[in-house]
Amino acid sequence: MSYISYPYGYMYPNEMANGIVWLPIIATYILFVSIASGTAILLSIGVLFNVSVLRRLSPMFIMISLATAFVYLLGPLADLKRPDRAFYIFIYPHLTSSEMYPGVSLIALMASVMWPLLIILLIVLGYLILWRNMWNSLLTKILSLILIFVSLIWSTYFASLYFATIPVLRLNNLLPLLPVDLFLETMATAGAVGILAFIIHNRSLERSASKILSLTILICGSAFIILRFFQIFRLYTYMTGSPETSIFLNVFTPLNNVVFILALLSSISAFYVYIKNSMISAFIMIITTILWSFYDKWLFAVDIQSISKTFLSIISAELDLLSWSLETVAMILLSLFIYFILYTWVVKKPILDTGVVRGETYDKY
Amino acid sequence: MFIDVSKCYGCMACVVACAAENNVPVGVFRTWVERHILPSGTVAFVPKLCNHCDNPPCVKPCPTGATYRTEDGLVLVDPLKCIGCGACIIACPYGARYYNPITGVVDKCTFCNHRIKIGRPPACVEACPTRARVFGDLNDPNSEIRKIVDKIPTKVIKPETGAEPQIYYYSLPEVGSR
Repeated sequence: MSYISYPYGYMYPNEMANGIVWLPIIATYILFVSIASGTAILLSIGVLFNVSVLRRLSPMFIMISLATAFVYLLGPLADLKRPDRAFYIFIYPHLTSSEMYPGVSLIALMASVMWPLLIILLIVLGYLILWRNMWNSLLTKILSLILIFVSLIWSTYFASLYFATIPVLRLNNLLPLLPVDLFLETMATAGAVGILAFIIHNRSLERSASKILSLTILICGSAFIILRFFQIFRLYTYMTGSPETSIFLNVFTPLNNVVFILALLSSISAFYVYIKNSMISAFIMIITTILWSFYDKWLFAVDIQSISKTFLSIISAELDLLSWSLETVAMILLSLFIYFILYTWVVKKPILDTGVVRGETYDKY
Repeated sequence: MFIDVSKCYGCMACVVACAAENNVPVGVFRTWVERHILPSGTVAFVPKLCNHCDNPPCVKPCPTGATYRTEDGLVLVDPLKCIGCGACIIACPYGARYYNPITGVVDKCTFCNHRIKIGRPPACVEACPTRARVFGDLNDPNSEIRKIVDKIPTKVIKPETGAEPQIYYYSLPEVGSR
């Protein structure tokens, strides 16, 4: 008779069999969610406060947000064990609480309500802003307000998912400001992707655009570093001793240090872009910001899962990084394709001061 | 269910009976027996399974309602509605859920629902040679399990999660209560 042996310490046998439940593609998914919701928030802020630079960048924000929003649900789709049944989430969404189905599924709410709402709002706002020239109308402002609300929920979604539905990890106790961290990352990522798209469009770095977007990254990066530092400081000083905190810090600290360095580099380069408008600094800023955001998402989507529910061991799972890379590249290419289609066939509007698109002259904003 | 840890001597009859009754694939478990060495040097065997919680954390995140709670308090999975997102596996504090590699959906202990409907106890309970497991209706004041739970000081695993687990343990060692 041989008993169940625990090669990595005390963990549940099903944890050994399941390994990492959510695959690394979920990190890519959350990054795409950040890009879509962050650019939507920048667009909405531009409309609500009538920011002229954001108004001139609005076609780009709408296209980026739509191109990523159309694609990002492919991430969880690739993670499903029964992807053939993915549409069940729209047919049988668990959105009401009852004796038989207590609680409400945040996953169902986001996929079947918030995702269509985000896309519809973006399409309607895009139509009003780009075709009807209703940037300053009350209707546009009301829709922008709703869009900010929807995008805020999306930007903090993964933190809410962990807090609300996964009680065993108690992340709300360990990192109570995680939603704010994710929001700051979202805004910084949107700024970085916005500048990247702008450079690709215009092959130059226009001062007003780079200033507002680099300032966004600078503020978000600095705030992120401070907030995350205080949360980690709290864990190391006031919450040490329990197995939960010890194992959490073991898993969390190595990649979190990388995230810290990347956020710092991103903030410094954003500062340089803000004062000098340097193209090299802009590229460093874009790369470090996207990497910072991505690695932090990887930390929560992948690494945290390796903590056993017994809090006494770490699940060692082999990740299929080749599949993840191919799926990620596929998502990026598909969103670029959608962006290209939107830009050349649908929107056909100049970005900032480019008054000529494909030989046709458009009115500048 | 009530489990008397002091009566379990780790024969694994329950694990085998469960696997045979429910076609549980090799490598995953609806019930398992943990072997813990106590500080005194003796060994304790702690049988574990789904706790069929009163406030089940696994039901809330299920996006399609494939996981549900019956009137009798059983937490079950509808294999025809499960999309295999794994949210319930991550949410379950007890590691009681797994991906069934044959069906591709999430699977777990059903308390042998098909047996209790016809008045038979779950396979693990029937197979236990020392009657370490007692099954019954906790809501029935005249049931054997209700009388045991009322009389003997029992513990549940991870009550701090707020899940209100319904597997009551007697003589559960600290080391096995994770």
